[in-house]
Amino acid sequence: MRRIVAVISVVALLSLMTYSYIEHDKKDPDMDYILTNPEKFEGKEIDFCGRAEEIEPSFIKLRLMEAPYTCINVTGVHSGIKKGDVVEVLGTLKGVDEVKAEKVFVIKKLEYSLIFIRSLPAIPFVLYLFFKKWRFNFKKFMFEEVENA
Amino acid sequence: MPDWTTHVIAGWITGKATKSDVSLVVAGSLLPDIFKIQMLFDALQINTHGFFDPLHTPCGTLLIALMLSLLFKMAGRAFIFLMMGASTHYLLDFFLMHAAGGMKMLFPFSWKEYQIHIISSGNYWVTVSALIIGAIFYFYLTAICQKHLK
Repeated sequence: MRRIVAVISVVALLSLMTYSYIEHDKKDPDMDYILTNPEKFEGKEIDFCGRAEEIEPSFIKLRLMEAPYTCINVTGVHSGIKKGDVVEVLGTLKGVDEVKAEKVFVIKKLEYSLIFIRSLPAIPFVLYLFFKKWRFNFKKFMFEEVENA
Repeated sequence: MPDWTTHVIAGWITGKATKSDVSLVVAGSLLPDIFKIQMLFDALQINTHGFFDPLHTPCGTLLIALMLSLLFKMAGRAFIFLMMGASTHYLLDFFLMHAAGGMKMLFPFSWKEYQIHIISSGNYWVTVSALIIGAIFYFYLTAICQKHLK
């Protein structure tokens, strides 16, 4: 019974992931698809995330944090953004490499790094809690409760 | 994402408060972030075209929890505890601030994204608050245990 459930859940998960992979460009296009087909999205609202590379008075140049990892010029952005900051943009595509921002959300460079640093202590804590109670039995291929846990 | 420390503390409090298996609830609280495997591909500049996206949806998490629970003798209980932890993860992520988008809560039935844009993921006060609440809860539990022992 366990094996049947395991096989069904693995197949179901892989099907979900494959479905997402196939339909991704149609339902939730990423920047790779958008910039490859700019004519389909010209003048339309798109959103993406990038790291600020250059700050000019009239625009900022963002390095995309997703494929194709190229740079995009974003206009209509308020000041206060510094090089290295992570910027989420909701805006209108104008050509292949320009977006007029309508909404911008900025995470400062240090704040962004701190998210990962703050996450680190959680890993040993989870491992300690888990392996204090469970140990893996390779013969039975199953976790068993540790005695006196 | 709120940081993992916040997720883990939320899972720990939930596990303790509901007298569940804390180790599994806490593990479940990080389960949706298996999706972060995506970051490895991002670092290598490989486009995965949304292949890993379902891992951070309730449906995907449910399937992973189901698979993992089969590795435990009491699979049903393990599944419930893992999902309990995963629920706290989605609850916390629901309040994150973004310029647009959110979580595909109804995937694969709908691609619509949901989120209440309240808290920035860079806001460390969320972690500080979680640590304080966790510490208060820990001392409260310790006090209750000592009372029972007397």
